[in-house]
Parts: sequence; C-alpha cells; structure tokens
Amino acid sequence: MLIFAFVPVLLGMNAYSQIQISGKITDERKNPLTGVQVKINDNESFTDSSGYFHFPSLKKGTYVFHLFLDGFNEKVEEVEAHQNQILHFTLSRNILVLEETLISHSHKTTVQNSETLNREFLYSEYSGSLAKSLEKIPGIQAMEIGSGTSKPIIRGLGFNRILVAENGIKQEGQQWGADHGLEINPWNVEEVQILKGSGTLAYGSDAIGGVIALNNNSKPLPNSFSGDWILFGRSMNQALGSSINLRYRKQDFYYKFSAAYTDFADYSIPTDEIIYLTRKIPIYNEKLKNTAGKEHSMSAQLGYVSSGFESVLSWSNFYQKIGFFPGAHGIPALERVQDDGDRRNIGFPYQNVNHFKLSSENTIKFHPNTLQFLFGFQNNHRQEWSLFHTHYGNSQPLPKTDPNLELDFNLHSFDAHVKFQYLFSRKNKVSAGVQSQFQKNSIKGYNFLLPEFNRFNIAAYLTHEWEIHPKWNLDYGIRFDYSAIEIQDFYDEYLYRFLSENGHSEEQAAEFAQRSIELEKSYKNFNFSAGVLYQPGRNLDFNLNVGSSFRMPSAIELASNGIHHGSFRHEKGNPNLNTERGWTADLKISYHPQDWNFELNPYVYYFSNYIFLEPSGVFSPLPHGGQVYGYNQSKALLTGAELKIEKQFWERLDAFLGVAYLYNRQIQSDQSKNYPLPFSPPLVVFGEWNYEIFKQKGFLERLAVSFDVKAAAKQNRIAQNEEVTDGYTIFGAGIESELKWGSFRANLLLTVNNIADRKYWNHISFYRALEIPETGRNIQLILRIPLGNNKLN
Amino acid sequence: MKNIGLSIIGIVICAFSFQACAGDDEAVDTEKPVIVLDSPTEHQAFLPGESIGLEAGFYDNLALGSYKIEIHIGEDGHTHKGMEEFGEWFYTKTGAIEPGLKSFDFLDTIEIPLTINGLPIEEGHYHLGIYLTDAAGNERQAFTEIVVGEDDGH
Repeated sequence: MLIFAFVPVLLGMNAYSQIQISGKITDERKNPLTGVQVKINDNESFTDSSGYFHFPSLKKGTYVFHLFLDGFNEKVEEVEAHQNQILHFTLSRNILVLEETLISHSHKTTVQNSETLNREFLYSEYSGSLAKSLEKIPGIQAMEIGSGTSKPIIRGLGFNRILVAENGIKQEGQQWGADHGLEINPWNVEEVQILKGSGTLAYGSDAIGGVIALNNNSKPLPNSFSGDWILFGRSMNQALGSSINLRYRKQDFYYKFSAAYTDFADYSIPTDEIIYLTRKIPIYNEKLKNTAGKEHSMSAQLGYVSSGFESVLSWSNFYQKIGFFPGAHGIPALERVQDDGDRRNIGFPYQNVNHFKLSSENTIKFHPNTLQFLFGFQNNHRQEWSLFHTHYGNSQPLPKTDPNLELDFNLHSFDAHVKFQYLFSRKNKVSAGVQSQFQKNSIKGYNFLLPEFNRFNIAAYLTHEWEIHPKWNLDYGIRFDYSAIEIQDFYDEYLYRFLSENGHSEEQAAEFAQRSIELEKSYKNFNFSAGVLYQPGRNLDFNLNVGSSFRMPSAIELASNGIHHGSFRHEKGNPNLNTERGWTADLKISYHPQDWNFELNPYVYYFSNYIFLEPSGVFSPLPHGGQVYGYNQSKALLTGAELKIEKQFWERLDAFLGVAYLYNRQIQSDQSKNYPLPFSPPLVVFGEWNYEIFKQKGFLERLAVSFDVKAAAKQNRIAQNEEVTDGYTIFGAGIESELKWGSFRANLLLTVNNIADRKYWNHISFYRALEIPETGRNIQLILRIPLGNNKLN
Repeated sequence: MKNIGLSIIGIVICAFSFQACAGDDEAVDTEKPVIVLDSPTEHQAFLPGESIGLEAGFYDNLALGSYKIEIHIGEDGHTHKGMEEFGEWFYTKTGAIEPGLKSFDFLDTIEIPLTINGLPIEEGHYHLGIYLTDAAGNERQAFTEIVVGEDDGH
C-alpha cells in the first residue's frame, strides 16, 4: 500500500526534475534554419528542416546555449530552465546585406571584398537589364547594347575578365563579345553577391576583375506559399513587361516557379542625326531604328531539405531577340534607317539567343561538415541574322538553307564540382574541391567569326578560413588548373577566290582565306590568394586581399583571322599567347560610427601579360578592312579607388555618395606604347537622397521620394583608336509607395532618369563607337503585388 | 582608434595617388590623323568608263603613316544573287606616306571599268572609303557614297 502511494510521487518527481526543452531557430526574416548546431554542456542537437531542435530530458537548471551555423553569427545565450520550454532564437547572417535604405552593421567574418544585394535592391534599382541595375555600386558599370541588354564591367574589366555565376555555376554565354549581354532574367534573382578583386580560387579562369554571383536557391518557409507579380513599363523604349514568381513549401519539399516577358520598341535618343565615319546619318523621330526587342524566360526549381541532406534541382530557359541598328554591322544605306512606321518590329540585322540551363546542387551534411556536389548543363545558342550580303563580289553564292543566317554559335557547357567543407573547430574551416568543365562550340552561318572548339578544364583547390582572434580573420588558399583547348580550322574558299580575282598571289590569298587555324593548346596555372580582415573596433574594419588570377586565351584570340563584323576591324589571332596572368591587391577600409558608413577601397592590378589588340600599321587586303590588329601581350597596370559614403538623418533621410576612379595603362619597354586599356570608365560620382515622407497614413503604408545625380568626367585616357568621350551630368528622381487595402498589398515605384533629356555619350557603351548618344529622358513605372500568405523577402 | 584608422586611410591614399601620378601619359599619341575629302562629293554620279578624281588632304599632329583607298558596292546585299548578270566592282590601293610628314595632299585618278570578269559592271551605289593611319597606328576612316550609272535620286 505504501509502495503504491510512493510510486506516483516518484514518477511525479521524475517528471518534475527531467524537463524537455525544444525550440525553433530562424534568421532575421523568420526563415527557419536547418542544421544549426545547438550545444548545451555535452548535449548536442541539430535543427531539422523546419528549424526545430529538441532536448528530451534535461535536468532543471541554468544552461548556456551555443548556437552555431556556418554563414551566421555564433550565438551564446543563457537560459534558466525550470520547466518544459519552447525557445526561439534568431541568428543573424554574418555578411552585410545591402538593403535599399538601411545601414546595418554587424561583426563581420567575410574576409573578401564582397557585397551582398537582396531582391529589394534589385527591384528598386531596376533599369532594364541586370548589369544596368547594379551600377549604383561604385566600381560596377554596365556596357549596354541598346536599351534591353547589357554586360557588367568591374573596374574597367569586362568580357572574359570578370565572371558571372548562378547558384555557384559559371554562366557560359559568349562573354568575349561586345554586342550581346547577360542571358539572365533579372526578376528571378534573389540575391547578388558582388566580389571585387580576384575570385580565382573559387571560380578559376576569368575571375580577374571580380565575380557577380547570382543566387536564387533560397528556401521558402515551411507551410508557405508566396510570390509576387510584377508589371512594368519604360517610356524611352515603350517597354512593357511582366514577371511572376511563386514559391511553395509544405515540409521537406519545396517548389519554385518564375516566368517573365518583356517587349520593347526602338529606343529614343535626344538627337535627329549622328555622324558616323564622317557621314551624316539621320535619326528619324529621334528613334534609333531597329533596336526593338523582346525577351521571355521561365524557370522552375525543386528542392528537398532535411537535417542531413539538401538538394536543389533548377531548370531555366531564357530567350531574347533584339534588333541591331543597321549601322552596327557596316555603313548603312540611308534608306535602311528610315522610319517604316512600326516602332516595334525587328528587322535585319538582329540577334537572338536562347540560354538553357539545368543544374543540381546536393549537400550531404555531417554536422558541422558538408560534402557538396554540383552539376550543371548549359546551352547558349546565339544567332545573328542579316540579309545575305557578301563582301567578296560575285564569288560567294546565296546559301541554300537559312540564307540570312550570318553567324550561329552553339555552346554546350558541362560543369561538375565536388566540395568538402571541414570545420576543425568553429574558428577553422577548411574547404577542398575539384572543379571540372567541358565545353563544345559549334558554328554555322555565311560569315565567320568564332571557330569551333572543344575546351576542357580541371582544377583542385584548398582554402582555409581562420578566425585567429575576434579581431582578426584570415583566409588563404591555393588552386591548380589544367586547361586544354582544341580549335578547328576554317578555310574560306570564297575569300580565296575573291582575293585571287583581285590580283593577290596564291599564297597571300590562301593565307587570308585561312580564317582559323587548327590548334591544340594546353595550359597549367597555379594560383594563390590570401586575405585578412581586421576589426580593431566596433566601428572600423579593414579587408586586405592579395592574390593571383588568370584567364585562358579565347579561341578568337588564339586562332581567328579576319574582319570582326561588329568592330569593323581585321583582327588576327596569335597561337603563341600564354595565359593572361594578373596580381591583385585590394584594401577596403570601412568606418561606420552610428548611422554613418564610409568605405574607401583602393586597389591595384598588375598583369604580366595582358592580352590586347595591337595595331600593325599594315593594311588588310580584305574589303572593309583597315589596318590589321594582332593579338599580343604586354605588362599592364590597373589601379584606382572606390569611395562610398552613406548617412542616415533623422531616420528618414538616407544619403548615398559613390565615387569610382580608375587609372590603367600598358607597361611596355617603349614608353610611347604605354596606351591606356580599352573600355575604361571615366571618374564617376553618384549621389542619391531618399526621403521617407510618412508611414501608415490611410491606405499608404509608406511613401518615399528620391533624387539622384550622376556625373562622369571626360574620358580622354583612351586606348588606341577609341574616341575621347565628354563628361556629363544627369539627374533622376523617384517616388516609392507601399499601398495596403485590407489584405491586399502593392508596391508602386515611379522613376525618371535623365530628367533634363540631356544628350551625352557613355564611353563604354557598345553603340559609342557609332557616335550614338545615350537614351534621353525615361519614365519608368513598376508595380509589384506580393502574393501568398507571407510577406516577400 | 579613430586616429590610427584615419592615418592608415591617409597612407593608403598617398600610396595610391602616387601610383596614379607615376604614370606618364604624355608620351602616348592617341590623336587620329584627319582626312578632308574634297572630291568626289557625296552622291556624285559617274558613268562606267569615266574617271573619279580623288582629292583629299591628310593631316596628323605628329607624323602620317599610310593610306588605303577602297571602293566597294554599297547596296546592302539585296538584288542580283544567283543572277550573275553583272559584276560588282571592287577597287583597292594602299600606299605609304613619306615618313615625318604632318600634312599631305592626296591626288589620284581612278578609272571605273566597263566590265568585271567579263560581266558588265553592276550599277548603283558604291562606298568610297579612305583609311589613313599615322606613324603611331592611330587610324581614321572616311566614307562617301558615289553612284555608278544614272543617279536614282537617293
């Protein structure tokens, strides 16, 4: 009897002294975090796919919780536990995310000079194409090809000297060319990470000037459906577009879908005449003929999350068709620039490109270590269509199939990457990986520019991230690359016949008719980099990064010979080119007391063999050919600095100032050949003021106005046979509002660029060479309607 | 702390501005030579068999290099393909200018052929182009449109 009386008491005692503690860990935006290591004394648990952890039997008492997840600030918190409890912890990301109007500071652990932009930033800075939308960041510029497409330039380095990656896989289009842009839907980017300086260790060849890493693999919240619908219009090219993005997650599986469509007309420029090669070309109704275009894209993602394994399968397809101003491919007959009454039609010449991508990212977690497998397949198929024409008199007949297909490049790229991340301790992270790529380019068309080639690359790397002291972080690593390229020859019999008929010797005719030579080359490259982050105080930090970088010579640089129809130059490849090698030093000083943020970022790049086109002084015998330009290598120097100042006044007014200056030149033994490098942006100053008028007034959740000014200096430091470009100042303004009627929400953004309709030239625009000014006044309206059961991030 | 930060900033600025100033651009010639085309004039018409009198002034800030004269068909590829009834005229001539000259008067007479490879010359618009380099490799192009045959008005 007594025993019976005691049992419940004992049981009760037991239940009382052993308590359960569970909890949820999220980031600042309430997204659950998976795989967070939760440690109390010797007990350890990891959060599941919904961010939950659980300790089933603990004694009463005071516990110190250690929360740790790679990429987030470590958290240590004391909890008094006297009964069963459900806790909630928030971890903050340890990278600085640049939001639209927010200066935030946290203890940094990122040693590299990188900046992360979220979707909010991209939405409010949208300017027709992705690269153009990033121009607010000092040091980033867009090389525009008309109004609808552009390619990014970092510190005057573009084309194959910077790298764009999506979800860790290098975007492989035709980066070498000046007349086509980035094949990416700007509305489907969730986050952009901009790395200035060498990104060679992580990405290999081409990441010399920097890396633009685009991510759209974030995980939606469990049991959520969200998304947004965007509608936009732009006046200067009568662009109309729409984008839809949907995200759905039940528990472990999630699904994402996005689609976008844009259609734009010939764009307007504030002039009725351009002077090109001493000839006056009329611009009817101030519209640049045949620069209309359209773009559509679609993508889908399937993801799986568990505490031990994560996988994302992504598919996307991007299509774009854009007309070329007839003068872009030769001196236009005047009737071809006449107004045909239709501003939206796309006539010859035009380009179209289709970029297909399939990628798979798989992470196996051995907490806290991870093993990652990445696979990618991309097909970039680009065509240029132009009414059949020949520069070889009667010798080239009309092609039987696709007679107007001038150029056709079909590039297939396969990527595979295995990465192992091992944490010796919370302060020591080692990553090792093997990265490989295979590429195959095939060609068609009645003209020739780029030879067919196969390219293979394999690399191994090792990096160590080490927090020596809370004030000192060190990153360093090494990478070895082996690359091989196999280029096919191309013999132009029509050119041979033409030259023979026009009095050239057989040998000479045959030499020029060999448009590309058969060539096999292989390269080995060893690279290193090291960086240190020093945070002497709360308000001050220094990032210093030094490292080497490299770039494989492209097939054109190695083997092509002939007139480049886009640049109108006879360019001759050089089979003896070595890999372009660069050394970089980059120092970023950030000082951020309270609501201020100053960043000063000087840098130096030194190239031991920068690849450039050297005028030979010898005229080309080919029709439309001036002197022959040969690919050559020389030492080169690139240096400059970026400055950024941000300040918030009265929690309402945000001021932003960005300044970028660079200086570059070749370093040759003959001083008179120390020419500046091509496409160098001039000194640029950008200022912006953003004022929040009010919050929560009737149906208006928020109303803000902005004003900006951009001033560029005259660029008279030009590469040989570039044109000096005058400086300019342009103004812009905008109104941003957030509307709310019951559960319906909408964002409305109205902006005006180049308010004064100023006529100016951009030194790095594709159409600059044709003396075509930049667009005039542009009014842009974006409407965004969030969908689903939670607010978008 | 502030002072250390500021002095480091100062040192860095000095270091980099020294780098920037150390460069010597003065020795570099990026000024293109100049072509002043006096004859033929835009849209001047010539009959097959006639001669084109070419008159141009070449100028450079330092020293002229060489030139290329080219005449090619200016019709953007429409018409005639597969017909082979007419021959397109293509003319080219290159030459070097005496070293060291800053200005040069170029005079030439170009005869328009009646036939090209046995076919009568294709009539229509032709581009007459002049390419001029200076001794440093800076290049200028000038183009004009001429008409071979009767001027059709555009």
